[in-house]
Amino acid sequence: MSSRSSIAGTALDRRAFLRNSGVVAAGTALAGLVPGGRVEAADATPAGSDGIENVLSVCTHCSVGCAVTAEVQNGVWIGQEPSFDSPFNLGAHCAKGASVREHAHGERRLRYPMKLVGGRWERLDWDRAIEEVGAELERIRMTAGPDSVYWLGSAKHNNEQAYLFRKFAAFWGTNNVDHQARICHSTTVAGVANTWGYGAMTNSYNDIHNSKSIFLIGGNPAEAHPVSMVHLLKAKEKGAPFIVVDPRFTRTAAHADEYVRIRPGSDVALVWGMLWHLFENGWEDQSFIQSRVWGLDQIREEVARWTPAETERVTGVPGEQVRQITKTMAENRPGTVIWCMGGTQHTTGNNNTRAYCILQLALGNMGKAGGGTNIFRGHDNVQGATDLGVLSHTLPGYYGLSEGAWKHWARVWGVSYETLATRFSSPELMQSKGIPVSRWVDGVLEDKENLDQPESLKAMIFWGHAPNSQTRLPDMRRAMNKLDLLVVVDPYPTLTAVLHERQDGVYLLPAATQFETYGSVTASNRSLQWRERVVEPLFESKPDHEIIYRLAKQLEIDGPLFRNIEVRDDEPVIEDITREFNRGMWTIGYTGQTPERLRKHMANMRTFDRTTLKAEGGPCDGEYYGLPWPCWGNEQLAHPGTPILYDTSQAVADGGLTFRARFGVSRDGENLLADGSFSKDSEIEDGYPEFTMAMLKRLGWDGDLTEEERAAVESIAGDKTNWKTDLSGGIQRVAISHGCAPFGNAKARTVVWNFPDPVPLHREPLYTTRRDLVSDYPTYEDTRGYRVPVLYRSIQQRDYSKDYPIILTTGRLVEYEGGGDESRSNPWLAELQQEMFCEVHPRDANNAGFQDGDDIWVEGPEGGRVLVKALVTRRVDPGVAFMPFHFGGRFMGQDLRHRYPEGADPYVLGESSNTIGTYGYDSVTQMQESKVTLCRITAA
Amino acid sequence: MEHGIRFRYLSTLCFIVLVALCGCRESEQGRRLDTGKGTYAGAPDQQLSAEAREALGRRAEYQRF
Amino acid sequence: MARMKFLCDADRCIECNACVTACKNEHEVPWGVNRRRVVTINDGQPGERSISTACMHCSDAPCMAVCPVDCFYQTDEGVVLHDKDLCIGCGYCFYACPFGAPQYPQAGNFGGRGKMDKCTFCAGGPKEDGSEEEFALYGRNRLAEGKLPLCAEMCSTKALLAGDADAVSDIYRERVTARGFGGGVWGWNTAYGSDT
Repeated sequence: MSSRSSIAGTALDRRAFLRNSGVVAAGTALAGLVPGGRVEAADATPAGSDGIENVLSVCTHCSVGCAVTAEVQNGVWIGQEPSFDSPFNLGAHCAKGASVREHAHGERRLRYPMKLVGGRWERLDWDRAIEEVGAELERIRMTAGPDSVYWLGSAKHNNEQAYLFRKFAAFWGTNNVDHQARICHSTTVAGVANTWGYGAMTNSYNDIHNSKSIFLIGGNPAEAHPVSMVHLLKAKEKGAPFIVVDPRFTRTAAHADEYVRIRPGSDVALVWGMLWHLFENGWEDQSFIQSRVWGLDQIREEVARWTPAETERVTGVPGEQVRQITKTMAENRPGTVIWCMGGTQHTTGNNNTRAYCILQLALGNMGKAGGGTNIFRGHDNVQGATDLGVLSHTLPGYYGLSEGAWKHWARVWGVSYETLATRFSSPELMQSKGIPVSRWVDGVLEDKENLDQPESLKAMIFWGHAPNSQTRLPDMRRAMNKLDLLVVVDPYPTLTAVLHERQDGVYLLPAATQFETYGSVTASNRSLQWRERVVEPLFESKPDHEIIYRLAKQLEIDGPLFRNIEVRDDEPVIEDITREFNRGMWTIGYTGQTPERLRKHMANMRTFDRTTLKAEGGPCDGEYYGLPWPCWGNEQLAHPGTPILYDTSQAVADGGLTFRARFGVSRDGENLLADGSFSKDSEIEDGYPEFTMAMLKRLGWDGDLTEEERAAVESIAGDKTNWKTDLSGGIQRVAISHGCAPFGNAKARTVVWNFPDPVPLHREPLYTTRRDLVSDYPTYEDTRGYRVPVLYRSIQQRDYSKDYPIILTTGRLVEYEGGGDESRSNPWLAELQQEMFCEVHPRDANNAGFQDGDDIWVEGPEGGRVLVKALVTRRVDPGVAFMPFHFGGRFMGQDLRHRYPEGADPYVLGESSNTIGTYGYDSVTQMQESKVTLCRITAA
Repeated sequence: MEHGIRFRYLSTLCFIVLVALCGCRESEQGRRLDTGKGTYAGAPDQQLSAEAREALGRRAEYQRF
Repeated sequence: MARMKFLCDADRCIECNACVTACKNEHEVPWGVNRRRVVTINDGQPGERSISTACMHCSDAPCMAVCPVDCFYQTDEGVVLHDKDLCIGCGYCFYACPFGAPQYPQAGNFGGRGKMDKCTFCAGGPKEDGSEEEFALYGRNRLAEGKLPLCAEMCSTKALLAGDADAVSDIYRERVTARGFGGGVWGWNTAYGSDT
């Protein structure tokens, strides 16, 4: 048999083949790679060697975690093979995953550092770029303080880079650091964590095979998480009714057994309407509720007003259909509830996510195989970057920003709290939430008197973040114009490079993709996988952690920042970073996933069961694939990971868990701890609070601590040392050895008393066509949060619906991801989706006088307008329009292609939907409202 | 006026010549044209090896799910 | 081993286009040439279904019958291939094909057709297996490496199946039995005759 290895020089010829075949969409041709430092990595094939190596990585698009098998010959990525052994993707990919090898062609990549001089892009070398950016940052720090620089990180970092990025911001002295999670699932993380402890997907994509019913609301996995559909369809084929709730008849809905068309922004009303039937018919799980749920009586009071008639009035869903889907869920238990951005991106996002949780609690579907809230995260490492704290309101591991949290991380980092504090403007700012990414624009544009920090933002560092995924682009353009310094660190120039109207003060630094470096990445199901480096960084690009190091050195904070981390040739050693966060991430059990264990899982992925994710035999016997967090204790404890959160049928040592005791032990005289429910083998056969040294002593278990563990506990805070701050892991180890969960055993709480709406309420969107509902379900009063003013009522009170009569919602396409700068630069993807469009119902198109394929103007109530193609379809209801958000490079009719650095313009440009995306932020997390606004559509 | 006609005449002629020439590319010379159903006239291809055929049989199983 | 076939399970296909980009990736297929694509019926309405289509490698292939230069041949595995050295880009096969498989890169003056290009079932063409020349003209020869077409091997939901006809129909039959429904095997009668 003729093998692949006989093809000498294949890669070179493949490239030549491509080059000769006329792949020239627009602008520059593909040929002629610019000379650069490591260009040979992608472009040359040294003669003589024909060895082909398979390198294992993980797809860098969505959060399913599809393994990528790269065929590499002499440092050139020559082919992609299916990863049949991966329990996540079983060899499968979507359009994006099947085309990731294009990263190694990198025809439209940013090739070397550049800066804007007099409106023209000029090439720089790395040393000078870092020097100039560093000097400008220092100047801003001296004149305006450290909070005037905004560090916008990325869900595209691997875990090590994400952690290092957050740590870097801490040493710079600001909490103005954030990433895509803010505008993706922040309302999930807040809502879900405040219900039962952790804010993450509770089960896994694979576990959906066990579901007896599927309730999917506000998600379109057929486009956003295509490979997850192999698992969903498997459950459907095993007989699980598949219910899809969405304002739009999505490609996912096309495969549903029951499609429910909901009015955008009425999720709480629908779920309460379902609970109305549940309670009315006594379909709730009484014993589950009695032992594991708190506050449901208050929910019942609110649900009582959501009669079938009222639910239909608000949601538009026929009363009989609401009853039917509730009955289906009740009769097919355990069922899973899945949601995505359709639920989260609202002013009431946290209410939506809590309502979904309450539905599952009432059904008794939590902590069970086949049940759970399966929250599909959006990016390959948005779960990891969230866990590692690239967020303005917390340090890594959700420790928060309190003095205690800072002291914990100071201990891990080997620096004193006082040293860290000197980097900040004040202890107050050190302990107060920074500006979230959704609001950085206001951090620039607001008068400084309106900000809860000394000065407005002067510098913006876009480190792996597309601007067009955020709303209010015309305001963003003004903000970009006003800054002193705008820096893009990214493999592509991104829309950031061209959206502004600046003549100078903009730097573009080429970052390597995750295929050009290595490290761990966390999939949506909390499993960590380890990527190996496929190829060397292309052109002059550098991996994020190396750029962080170079910048830190320039700013003279490299000493303390890299105290525990070896740096080789300016590149910090990834494994040292993993081991450092292993030493500090006790809260969510990122402590047992060492580089060695993760590499062992990758090497033996075929030994893991495709449904349970448990290894049967082999070197990882008994462990769950990717050691899904919490993977308690340190490496020696050899915890197998937790495949299903809050599953009391397993011992904690084997991956079982209880609901977390996070909210105290009682409320209003009622017990918040679990009532007669406990995990298998627990020696405490009832609820219990979280573990502290004092509690160990009361239980008489402190004698189980080793001398070293005891000494460590004493040195930290004595009896007050708890399971989160004990760096020895002793408290966790002892608790688990007695069958207990380190974080306690409590009831889930359905009423979050510290949120603006303790009981989730329906509130009309700020921009609504249903003025009749505004008085019954008004939004919040204007308020302040995260250092900025937050408007609600002052926007909602004005009626825009006469001039802007159509509801506009947004979403994803399968071919592109995020802002699309990367995927629109990939010719294999770009060819499939060459035009930005707006889906409009035939009735609205006829009324406005345009046809399918016509150019139309879509205008928003805040002054933005976009020129796009009409896609006339019944996918949307009359009065509702949909636009994908991946496009950029055109702005209000103006083509920005000439503003990109030469040869780095994406093949496909288009108007950004967020040019007409409007104001509106979640009351808890500042999540942007990008699923409901209003628009007016006219023929162009 | 006459100048205009001549110009049109010349340009039409040029166009015809161009069109004719484009049918005269080297690669299109000496080709076979046979409209009846015939037998393959191209170069022979290699047979799959026994090992490859066996591997292909096993490989299909990866699609079972 | 019997003969190679494609089978697309329309109840599984989600129109994700992985098959399309896998093909582009594997064979470096240029912009504008689509050896495989996904067709959707009732787009955006109840009853929406998608099918991934390419050359089906028909039993009695019409393209072979109409080709004026007889550049087509069928391998022992039933794969329909052609010799690009003979092909004149006339387009007859395109009109004959019930699946719209033949593709023509723009080549020559006045947008004239270049040599026909189509799905090879990842079996290359009449050049030395695995050679540079074979790759440049026809793409990678996976069958010679003991691997099946990448579009099917990478299909997100395992809707698109490829391989020995008995093996793929067995997988499909098992699925239909388990789930109790199956929309039928689109295109099989056209491609492989009514007894399939």
